[in-house]
Amino acid sequence: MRKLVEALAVVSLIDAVTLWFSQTSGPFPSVVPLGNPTAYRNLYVHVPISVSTYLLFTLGFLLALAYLLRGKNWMEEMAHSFIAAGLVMGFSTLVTGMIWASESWGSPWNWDPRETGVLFMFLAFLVYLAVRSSIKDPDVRPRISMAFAVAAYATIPLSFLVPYLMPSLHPTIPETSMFVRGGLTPLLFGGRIILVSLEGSLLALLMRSGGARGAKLAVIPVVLVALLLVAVQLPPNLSGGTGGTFKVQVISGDVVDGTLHLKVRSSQGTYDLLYRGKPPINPLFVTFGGERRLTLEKHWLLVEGRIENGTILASSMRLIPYWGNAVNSLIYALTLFTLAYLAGRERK
Amino acid sequence: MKAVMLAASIALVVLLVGYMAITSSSYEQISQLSRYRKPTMVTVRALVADIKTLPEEDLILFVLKDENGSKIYAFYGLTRFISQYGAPPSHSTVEQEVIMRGMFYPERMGDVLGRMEIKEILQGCHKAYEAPPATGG
Repeated sequence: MRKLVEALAVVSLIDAVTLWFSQTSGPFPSVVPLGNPTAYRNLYVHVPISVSTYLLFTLGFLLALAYLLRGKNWMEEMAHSFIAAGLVMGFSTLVTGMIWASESWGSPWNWDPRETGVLFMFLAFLVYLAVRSSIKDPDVRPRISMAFAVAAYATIPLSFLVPYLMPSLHPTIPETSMFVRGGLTPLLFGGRIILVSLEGSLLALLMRSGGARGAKLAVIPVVLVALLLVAVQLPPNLSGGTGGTFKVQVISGDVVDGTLHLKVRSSQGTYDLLYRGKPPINPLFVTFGGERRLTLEKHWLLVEGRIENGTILASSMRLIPYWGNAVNSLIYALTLFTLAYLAGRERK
Repeated sequence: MKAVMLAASIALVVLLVGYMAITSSSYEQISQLSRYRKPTMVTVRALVADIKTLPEEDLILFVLKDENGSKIYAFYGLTRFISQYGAPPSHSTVEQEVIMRGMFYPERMGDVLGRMEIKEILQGCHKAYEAPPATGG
């Protein structure tokens, strides 16, 4: 068990570093249909949690099936741990997805076919838990509950394949991979999927043996990074702009003679904004759909400067990241901590 | 083996119920709205045939259609749209195909099946992944 906790500590440390990097410097799509483009940094939080959920349920299913065929007790115990961990991760999948959807799809819950599929999957495994805890006879309980665990797995291919079978707001893997193909993105995206899946699996294994008190300590780096993200990224979202600081959203703009001319809106109205410094985004323009597009469009900015004749003369500007990214990072950290807490409990 | 058979039987039921739950939550085509006789909350997937801004009424009028040529008029608050998208409707804020949820009032006028008060405009994120990546902070 000690080796598992040590492995968890190492994975958690790398996870914490990549979480910070992905949420402060991770690439995001330069042109998006709706909302703050930085909301797409949820690719590095929500998607790995979702993949980890699918993996945990799959391992739980295989162990449950193996138990039904072979009848070894450790298989049943381990299947239960993986499914329980999958349920905690599954809940996190639903909540982080809703927070992202509220910005990028226009509404937190849309009865999108995959959303419905994942909710159905979560409920099916929740019923497994209810079935397992309601059967008191120790001879009957494992067989019935494992049979139900195997049956509940039917919801996995259903929820996974839905975007391929009918119109869905969720993208398919080929659509997502169009973005995840160049530079650092595949490493960061793929790496985080592996790290989160590994962490979930290690915690599930520790949950089976129980009494792993070091597990909570092992996931602390992720919790600290998530709290730091909340401390750094939430205040600019909550600020309305004071004194010489303005919180504005970019509507349109161009560069004329080395000066960035933007049309922006704030809670006070619409303004022109002029800025000669280094733009807070790279690249500033892209060609997309045959058009030259300003990548600052739809971004919220925290701008320092002054107003002259209804025009904001900016001396500095920075992007305000979508608030849900920090909140989702914290939800993820709390998910890991919950699993670590369950792993730390002594088994009865 | 009995337990495996039990698992397979329950799996079939789960699959059937899941399939029904998912397909019933899918989006309706404009022509499917013709079956409604009274106001109904619907989620439609449609092509945007035309957009008109009505500033004096603080409304946007979307003419939505499907491949069969059926149309509806859909209305959305102009101020609300601008606060969400940062600008009035244009090619950069509204995609050619949209998913909208709202209250549909069946009032047939020729090939127009009725009007809809839009509660939410739902955008898929598919197109975002085609865009080149950006970084910043």
